[in-house]
Amino acid sequence: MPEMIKNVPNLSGLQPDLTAHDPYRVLGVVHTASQVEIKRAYFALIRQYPPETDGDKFKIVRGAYEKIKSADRRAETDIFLPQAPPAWQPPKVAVTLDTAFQVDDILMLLRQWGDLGRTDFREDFKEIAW
Amino acid sequence: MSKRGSSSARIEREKYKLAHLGGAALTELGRTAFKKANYNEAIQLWEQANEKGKVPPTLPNALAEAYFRRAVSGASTNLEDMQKAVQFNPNELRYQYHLALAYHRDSNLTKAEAIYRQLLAKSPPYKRAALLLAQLLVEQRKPLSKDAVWNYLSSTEQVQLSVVEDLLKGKLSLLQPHFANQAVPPLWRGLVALVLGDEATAQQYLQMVVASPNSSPKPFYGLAHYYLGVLAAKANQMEQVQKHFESARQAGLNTPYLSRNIANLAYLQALKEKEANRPEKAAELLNKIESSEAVSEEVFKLQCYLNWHLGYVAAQKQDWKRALTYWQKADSQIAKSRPLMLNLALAYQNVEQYRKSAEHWRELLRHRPRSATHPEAMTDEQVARIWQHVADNYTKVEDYEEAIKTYKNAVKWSPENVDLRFKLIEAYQMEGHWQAAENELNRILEKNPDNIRALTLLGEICGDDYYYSNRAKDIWLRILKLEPLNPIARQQLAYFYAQRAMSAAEWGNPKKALEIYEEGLGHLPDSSQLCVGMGMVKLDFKELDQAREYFARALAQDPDNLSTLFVLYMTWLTHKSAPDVDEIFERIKAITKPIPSGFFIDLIDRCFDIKETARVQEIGKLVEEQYASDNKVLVELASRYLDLNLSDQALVLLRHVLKNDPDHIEANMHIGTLYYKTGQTRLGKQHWQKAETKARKEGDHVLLYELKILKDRLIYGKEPSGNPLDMLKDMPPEVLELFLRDAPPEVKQLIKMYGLEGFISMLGKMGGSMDFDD
Repeated sequence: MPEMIKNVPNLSGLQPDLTAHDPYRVLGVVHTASQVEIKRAYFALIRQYPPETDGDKFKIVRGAYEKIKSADRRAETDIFLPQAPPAWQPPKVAVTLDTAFQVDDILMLLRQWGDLGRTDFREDFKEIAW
Repeated sequence: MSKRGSSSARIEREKYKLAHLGGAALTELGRTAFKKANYNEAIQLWEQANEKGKVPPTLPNALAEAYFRRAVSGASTNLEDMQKAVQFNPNELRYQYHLALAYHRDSNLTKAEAIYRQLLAKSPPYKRAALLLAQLLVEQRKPLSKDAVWNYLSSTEQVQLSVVEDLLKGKLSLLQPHFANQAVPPLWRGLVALVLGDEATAQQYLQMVVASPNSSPKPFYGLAHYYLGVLAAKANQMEQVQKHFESARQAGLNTPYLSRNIANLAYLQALKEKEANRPEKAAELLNKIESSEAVSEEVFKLQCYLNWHLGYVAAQKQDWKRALTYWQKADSQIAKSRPLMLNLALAYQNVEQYRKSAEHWRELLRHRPRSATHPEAMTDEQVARIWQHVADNYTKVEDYEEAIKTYKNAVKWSPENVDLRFKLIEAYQMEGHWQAAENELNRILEKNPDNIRALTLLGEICGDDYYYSNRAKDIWLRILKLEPLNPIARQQLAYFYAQRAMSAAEWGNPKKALEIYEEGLGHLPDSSQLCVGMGMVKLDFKELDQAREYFARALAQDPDNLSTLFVLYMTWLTHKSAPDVDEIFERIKAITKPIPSGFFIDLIDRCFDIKETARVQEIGKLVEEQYASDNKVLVELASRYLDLNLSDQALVLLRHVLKNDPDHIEANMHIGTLYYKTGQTRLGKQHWQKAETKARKEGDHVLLYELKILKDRLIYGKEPSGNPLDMLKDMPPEVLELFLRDAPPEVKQLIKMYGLEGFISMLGKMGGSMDFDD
């Protein structure tokens, strides 16, 4: 479970998750966040976790920020981050079960009837008269 | 001759014999095959007989029957075989009927109809064709009751086919009378009721069909289940829907409507699970769907979304194996997607399937948008980074050729990236492309002549080749000018001078050696390696005081340097200077950090070589103190004592080890030898047996072999052969394999070319005196 952190401006609706491997999730920003938003989230977190009192958490926050602190770093980081799927959109026409009677089924049955559907014709074999 | 060779020769002989048999003999062989229902062989033999002539007049009929039987023996009638059957026996109506049936199944209805009609026109008519012709006419929606075939049908057939005709027409007014007709079978009545909208009656008749599964063909039974599922769907009884659809599928019903409905049902259930925040369950439902064209795109979209999402969640938890499984499924459900390709590349990399990962990164690069204005366009740096990633993956599977190609691509996209060039250089080095590596290093140095890393690599490349070692020296000196304390340059430069000086000394030119050491010490006055070397040369010149001075300088630089202490110990020992040896030994004893046991064992071996038994005992005592609880070291020391005939000391040590570990293999082997040699043969054999049992249990073939040699020598007086060929021949295969694993590459190549037997025989021809070191 992500650790809930208080007093951090929730710009994206996400909460920082210091256990995540994705630096954006560590800082609690979306992947499309601006550099200003990233910086703001970072400063809020290091105020929460100063290096003097919360060294380990500060290191995590700092490490995440280092990966996305500039456009160049982000470009480098982004290409090696797992990508979430595009949001799923419900279909415009709802998927339902087809309850219609299918005429093709009658044709299919017709093809299975009698010799047409039979596979064993050994009864039709005849001995050869030499 | 091998088994394979003899069997192929036998086949050839059989072929030759058959080719020379006459028609009658071939006919007879064909009859035997026919009786065994081997129609392929019968046809082949009779066709050959037919070509030769002088065959019984009934052979064409026999061939026709064989072709017919083969035609109808498969899952579907073989049209070509049926045509052959009719060709050989055109008067046999059975064959014509089956030919028409084959055309009918093949949907060649015109030809089928023509033959059915011919058969009915025969005198007497071949009535069996009537039902098939009627089915064919209904399928073509031709009015059945107006056709002559109507009169050949039974009344039951007439009733059933009329229902089918009217169901196909779909006119409710036509269907109504069938509904009341008791002669109409339950399935048809159920379907008529369904079309007429009387769902309760439809349900009743369809239930009658499924209640007696053996009374109607499987597809009829399956269809009844399908429409019961449809009725349940109308009543929103989803569990019943699922039950009936599954039964329909189990009965072999395979219509697109069933496939689509099964998929849509799973979709609706999955949607509920997704809404209830149970994506795993939702994905599980959808992943059971068999992929088919009938399944709607929306189902695949949700399936892909869920698998992708679950893979993403797993990846966030670093569960890459799980992530890979989900993403592989998602990948099979949608057209090529770049973000998914990236995910797969990452997952493969994290589960250490590096080649697959490299392939996916490459695929991602192939599909990247090329226009710079595209929102997902990659920068040159990003392209270079991914190419580098591809190459890194190839490096991990040691495919340096591919790594070189792909690092080159990376360099092309990021020519200023020096780290990338170094990776390329490393790959060149791994493939032995020294010139290419050197060229690449020179390119770096052209831009930055003071790049220490490039200079270091260039120095290493030049230093590996004796003829370029002077160039290497210049490079090391240049590095030291830039960075006087560079440890690699200092070490390599010292090594260069030491090698040159030792070579001069070996060639009998100590003066030259002296000059070289002086030059080296001019550059590296505090190099302990050069001070030791210089001291040794001074010893050769009998300048003992100066030698001592240099040795002291070496020790002052690095008092705990084991290789310096080793050399000095042995040097003073060979020069018989006991006080100096003692002093060095005291220094060794004074070292507080742990000393590897190999240092002492090597020292003991060297003392043993020059017969300094007292020194062996002195060092041995120190080892016993320092490694009192290390059985492996103590046994090794005991074996040295045994070599020096210090049996009592060896015995104490071996007993100590066996007290701690009574099954210790080597300890039992050595103590067994000791007892055997001192006449306690029974006790000796007991310890050998213990060693052998444990070695066999652990699969230690080398020790078993050593024990065998030992016993052969001591019990049977059989000395091992000094001839390498005999030695190789005597070795058990497991030991031989281990032995050859350490062989030089040339020997391994010879074994690869000639096989082990060939290699040993080659050794034999060479007099069995091939030395691996040569």
